[in-house]
Amino acid sequence: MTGRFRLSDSRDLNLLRELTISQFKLKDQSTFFGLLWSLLNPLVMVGILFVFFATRFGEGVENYRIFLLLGMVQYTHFANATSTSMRSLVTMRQLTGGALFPKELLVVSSTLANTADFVIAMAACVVLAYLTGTPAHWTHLLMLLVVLAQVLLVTWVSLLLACAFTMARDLQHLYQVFLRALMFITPIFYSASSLGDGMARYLVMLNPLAQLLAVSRSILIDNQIPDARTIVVITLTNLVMLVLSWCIFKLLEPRIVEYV
Amino acid sequence: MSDLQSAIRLDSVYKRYARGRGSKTLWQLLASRFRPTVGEDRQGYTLVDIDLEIRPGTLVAIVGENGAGKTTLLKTISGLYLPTSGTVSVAAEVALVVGLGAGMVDELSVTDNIWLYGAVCRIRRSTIRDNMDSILAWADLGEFAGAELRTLSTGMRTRLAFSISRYIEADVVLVDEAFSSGDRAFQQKCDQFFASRIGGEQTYLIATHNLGFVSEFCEQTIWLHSGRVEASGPTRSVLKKYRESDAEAGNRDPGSGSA
Repeated sequence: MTGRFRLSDSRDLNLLRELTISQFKLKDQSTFFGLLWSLLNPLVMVGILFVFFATRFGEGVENYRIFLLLGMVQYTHFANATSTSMRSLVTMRQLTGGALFPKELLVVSSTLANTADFVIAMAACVVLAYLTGTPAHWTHLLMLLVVLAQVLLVTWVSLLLACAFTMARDLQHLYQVFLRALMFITPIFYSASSLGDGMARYLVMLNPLAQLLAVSRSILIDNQIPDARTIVVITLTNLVMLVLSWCIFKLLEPRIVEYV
Repeated sequence: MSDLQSAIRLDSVYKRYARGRGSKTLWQLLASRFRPTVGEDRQGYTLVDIDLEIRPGTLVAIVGENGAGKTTLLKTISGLYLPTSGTVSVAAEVALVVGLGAGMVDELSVTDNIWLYGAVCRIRRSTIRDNMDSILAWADLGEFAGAELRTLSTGMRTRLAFSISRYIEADVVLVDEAFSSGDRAFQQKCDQFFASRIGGEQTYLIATHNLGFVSEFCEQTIWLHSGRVEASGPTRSVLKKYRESDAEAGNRDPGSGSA
């Protein structure tokens, strides 16, 4: 009974805003160097993967550098944002168990605080694509849709994880293992078409991150407008999952405030 | 119909924490599901059979030893915790202040923390904007507006948090241990604040160990002991019983000091 988040209640929005800003500032990314550090991780990974895998997996992949970079940026954002937001209810335990407001605000503010550097990293991908010879095109604006869909994805995954984490703290170890596996189940350094028809292909098809990655690559590298059906399906699926996760969260909320 | 006349009303409220609370691992969580429950019926309750009725516009104190259930009672009244059985009804909007300054962030500036804590206390943005200077002035922190919170002393933080919480507009305000720390000057300011609230429209329910404060400002007092209401009513008579029982306990066991 800590209430529902209502867009119409200016105090809920105000709290969401303040929580987001404070977490963003804490991440040290309101400074130029702070942002640079958060870009450094995917860049270094891309460098290493490029040196080792370009000849093996990069063959036949158009603009492999940007291909890798997009994969790394989207994966890094997913991994960082979900693991931080998973812990948000416990990190801000005093607020979870001692203040009256809809507790999903804590999780959502945490995912929002992780969105700024993702947007900048995605913009950097576009700029680097131009620098490496991709001609600018209006369809690249559709990358904003990919960003939106990925933020939806991160939010619903985080809501579920945050619930579970308040009840079993060792979940974070399991989740780290899962993220490690996800790095390989997601076509980051190889192309999905190289997988053949085995089980691997189905694993990738079920992976929502892989689907988003396919869309962003088709927009930026193949210069294609992804077909409307794909975009609608991806956005709708994530929206439905967000509503579902939110319902589960509200159902467990009275328990969560006692568990933390 | 009597609901209309009471700001807070509790009818035979029992509260037991959710099973598996405090589990740290998946295994413990699963194990807590299958633990036998026989013989647990009346044990493990933090609140037992609480009946309460509080009129609007009053200052009411909750006293009792550590672990008596004061905080759990406040959290249950606020709606943060659901009662295990019984009913809780609060006539109007409620605010909960548990641990003054909870949610403030060390690494942020005093001003940032005012915005943040104001939002946590559900104070409107416009109210904070209009009163920023007076919040800083009341807390004597005018020159520290840009300083990081971690550079402030505990007393200064308490002052800051209290200064912000003065703008809570809710009709029912539940306060836990808000003003136990702080120097004499701060205590006096708090006293002035509560004195100004007597006869106002807001209802305050305050859990505290500060009996001087209770006898000065609260017309009603609730004494909680092991999760039960031991006595409730006019402050003078309840405090008398509370002090007597404290003295008895002190005589029985000279090792434990009385509050």
